[in-house]
Amino acid sequence: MNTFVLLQVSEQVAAKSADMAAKDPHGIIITAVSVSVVFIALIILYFAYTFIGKLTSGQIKMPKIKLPSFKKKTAEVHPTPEEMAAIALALESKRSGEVYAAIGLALHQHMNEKVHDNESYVITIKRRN
Amino acid sequence: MNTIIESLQQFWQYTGFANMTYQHLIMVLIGIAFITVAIKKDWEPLLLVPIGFGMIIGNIPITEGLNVGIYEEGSVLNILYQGVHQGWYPPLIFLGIGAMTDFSALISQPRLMLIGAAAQIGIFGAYALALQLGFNPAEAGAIGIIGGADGPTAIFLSSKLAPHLMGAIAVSAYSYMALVPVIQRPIMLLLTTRKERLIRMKPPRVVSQKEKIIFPVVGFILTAMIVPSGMALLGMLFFGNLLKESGVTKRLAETARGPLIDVVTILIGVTVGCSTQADVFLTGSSVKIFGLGLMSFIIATMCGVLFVKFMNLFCKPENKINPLIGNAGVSAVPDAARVSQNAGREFDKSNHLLMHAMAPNVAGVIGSAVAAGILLSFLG
Repeated sequence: MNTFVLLQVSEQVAAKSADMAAKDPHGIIITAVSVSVVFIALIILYFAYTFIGKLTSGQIKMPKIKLPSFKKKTAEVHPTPEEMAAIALALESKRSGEVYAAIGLALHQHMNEKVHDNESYVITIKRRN
Repeated sequence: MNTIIESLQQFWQYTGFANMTYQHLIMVLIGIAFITVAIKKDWEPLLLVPIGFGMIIGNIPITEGLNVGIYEEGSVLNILYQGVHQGWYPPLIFLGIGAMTDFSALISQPRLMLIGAAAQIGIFGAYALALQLGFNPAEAGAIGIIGGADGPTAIFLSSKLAPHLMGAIAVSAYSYMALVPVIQRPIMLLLTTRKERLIRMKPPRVVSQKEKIIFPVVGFILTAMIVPSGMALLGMLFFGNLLKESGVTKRLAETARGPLIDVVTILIGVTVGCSTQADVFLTGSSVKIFGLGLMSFIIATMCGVLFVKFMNLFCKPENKINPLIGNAGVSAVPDAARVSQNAGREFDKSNHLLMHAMAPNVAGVIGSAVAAGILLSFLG
């Protein structure tokens, strides 16, 4: 690679440049279009951030969408007779206190969504001097 | 005895002293001048010292075949220069800029973003002037971007559009960035009245963490959708800012704004300086580029200040903007904002404009990257 090759423009750039020189020799079109695009881009950002600012500061309130409540639905669901029978059988069968405690703990964790451990994702080990 | 003398003569032919021309000497002296100004005047020392020393390295005369020159394939300098030539370094610098910039001032006063857009007119003014001076459109586009007052963007665009002019463009851009206080202040004072300089602006509102996190994501999607060709610069800028604001990537943000940007600044400075070899740099085109660069800075500053005055026509008295922050629309962060602050305090000691000026200043960074993307899509 010599100086000449490293400093050459690509063929595509040369072709586009020649095309632009023919179409817009004084640069008026490219200037007008480019300035407009820069302004449009920043005006869009202006509107976006104004809206986000108002939204986060509470000046604009988003309409509340009523989502079906999970708790209500589950409360309304009643077990079928077959399920009732299965639960009764399970309760009647002889199990140790530890099994009931484990089932109780598992259900408690599940209901409180604490099944998974919260991990810090920090895997660095600090060496002690 | 003869063999020793012949050997010494042969060695002499390899030395820089034997191959030195007055052009090399001029470039070495310019390099020394850059270092002197950076140390004595504290003008952009982080850039001018590496560039100045790079100029000295690049202008030590060498004979072909030693494989040490920046333009010789496989040489160490040539490999390091690929980051400039292929445009890898500027987006990495933008990553660091994003990770160190607080966009709160802009988020709290989005209307000031338009000043950043107005100042970009300098780029296109210089483009039109460069065409009149005989440069082709690709070269004119690369020269015009000097008006964005953004060194990495200037290097990025010139590496794509006019690599043969990159040394002159980069040196011109960084030189004028260092001279921002000298160039901008008289123009600001010339275009404003005493009454306008005393305008006090409302303090910016407090910005929530949620807004700061939304800003880079929304900002990138919107700007990159409009100008996909500026994706590399814009993506890295906003990504760096997300690392800073997310609150969970502190280590990455610290690396981006610390060691990473320092390493890339050293490499970009030295290699750009090296690329200004006398035979490539000392041409009539370089003189024109320096003149056009100055013009683009002047036009950008004028447009920023005048645009604030235009905006004030539509503002309520309590919402008026001090036109002394108009100069900060160029993206020389934070030097241009500091010029606003100092100019404001000259006329009212208790009027602090720095926070307000930072808004158009960081908008200028986004604006210049968008402008570079537009020029690249037209000419690249």
